[in-house]
Amino acid sequence: MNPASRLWGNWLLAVYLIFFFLFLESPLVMILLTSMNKGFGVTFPPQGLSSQWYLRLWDEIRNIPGVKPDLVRATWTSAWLGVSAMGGSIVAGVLVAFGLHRYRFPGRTVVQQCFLLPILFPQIVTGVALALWFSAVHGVPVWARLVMAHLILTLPYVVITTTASLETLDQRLEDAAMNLGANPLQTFWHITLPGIRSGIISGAVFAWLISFANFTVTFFIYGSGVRPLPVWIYEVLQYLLDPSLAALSTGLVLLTLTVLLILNRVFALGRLMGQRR
Amino acid sequence: MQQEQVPPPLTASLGAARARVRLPWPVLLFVPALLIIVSLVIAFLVLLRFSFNHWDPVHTMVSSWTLANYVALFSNPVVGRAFVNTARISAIVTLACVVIGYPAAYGISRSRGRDVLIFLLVAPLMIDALVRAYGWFVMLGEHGIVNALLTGVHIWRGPRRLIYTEFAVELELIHELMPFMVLPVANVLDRTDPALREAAMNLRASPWRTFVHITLPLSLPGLVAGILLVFALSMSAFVAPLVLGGGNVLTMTMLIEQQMLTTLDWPLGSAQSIVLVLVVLVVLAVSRRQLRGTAVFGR
Repeated sequence: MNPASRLWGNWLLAVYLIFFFLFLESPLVMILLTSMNKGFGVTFPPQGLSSQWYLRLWDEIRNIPGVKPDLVRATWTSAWLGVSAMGGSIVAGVLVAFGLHRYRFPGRTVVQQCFLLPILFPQIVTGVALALWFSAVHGVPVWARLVMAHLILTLPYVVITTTASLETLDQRLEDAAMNLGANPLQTFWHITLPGIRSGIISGAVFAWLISFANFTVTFFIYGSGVRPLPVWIYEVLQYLLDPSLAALSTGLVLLTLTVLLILNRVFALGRLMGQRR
Repeated sequence: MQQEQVPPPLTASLGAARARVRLPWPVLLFVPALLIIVSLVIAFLVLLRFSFNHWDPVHTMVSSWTLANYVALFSNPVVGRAFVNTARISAIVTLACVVIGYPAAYGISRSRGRDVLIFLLVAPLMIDALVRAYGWFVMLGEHGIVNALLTGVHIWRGPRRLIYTEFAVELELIHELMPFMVLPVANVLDRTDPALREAAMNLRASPWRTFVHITLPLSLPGLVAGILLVFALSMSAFVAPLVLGGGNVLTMTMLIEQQMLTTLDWPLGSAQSIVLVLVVLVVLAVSRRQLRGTAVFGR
């Protein structure tokens, strides 16, 4: 192929990529524009800059009468739910990833895939099945139900990131520790765990984000009194398109992107889906 | 296990004599995670059991062993319509993801800023589904950017109502599921040997011929993985039809939601959930080989 047409091809590809990523990021950009729009609601092009929707969001945060109540409560619920799910799935996920990596036994691949199953299981079915089970077992508090459900959702991510770290860990360090007289538990605690720190931390962050943002499963399980943020947003979307929702969403998008940007330095996002480095 | 009884020869390198860290009672390592997975399995078994129950308007659910719910899935016209709608939406979404995503994957795998692009590709996935759906709400409104663009270039005469239509649901799903198409394809393209392409070009094959005979066949496993993932995920999509369909778009998941929360016909809803799981898992199981190493299936 002659250089000129190759150049043209590359140009075409670059222009295509620009449009492609405009498409991908457009909802996020539009949320940002709407939150700063002077007019009410969702107009394009925007009618001028204004901070009124952020002020209204501030009203909602302060829970003054006349706004949709309980924003702060819902946010805290989601944040703590995320922390609980994260804690549980870190313990369970790190242990099982270590076990799967170090011990060979028949059916190991199948077992490994079982632990990744919740990712591929349709979330609506997970939600419905858990809701029905909980309806049959009385006396489980809503909070415990939600944590249970979110543990199921977040465990696979911890297993994936920890396994990825274990694969790059230099096992000679462990050999050295053992040769120097450390017992297996000491070696695990002082050598293995610090060695796979990056995998554990990324697993924790993914777990928290997945739990914080989950709607589908939560929707079937949440109860009165315990209402996570995504459910709160859904209820607002049901009856009004107040642009203060855009202000809130902008905040959530910025929060998520910041966390992901920091995380991306430790654990490239693409590796979550098999991208190798 | 047998081999480790034998003491390694003294001359063996450290690597070969590796005494891996083995904790006492290794089974304990699996217990917490097993508890979590087993609870999903139990819930699923409850769902399975409920799907054989009988429903009547007065007592809601009556314990029994009947296949009536599964028969109803095939005889009930509403369920049939939901199934056809779901299949159509999934097919359209998958096709659009292939057409839009393939060139993007090709571009990403050739680009120098690959890490940044992959971050931009995956980041929207991690954002709250409701926030993403709200973004589309904003874009598809009567004064939103989609209407503004399409009337602006005179494709449409005036603004159209887009929210609460099947089009809105499809657009959201194309956006949401695009990474699941692009990443497997980009992964495979990354791993193909550029020498093959160059050889074809040196033999004076046109770019088009090179693409059709070299690049495309080599990327086929990734493409198949992407197609199956996107199809399976759009079949089980929930937020998009709920928020952007607003009751106008009847999919399998919307029907399940209705039966679980509105009509409270739990047995029928359970039977439907079982069928949905089976369809999705069969699609994914058939494609296990293609998915290995590309998707979340591990290596």
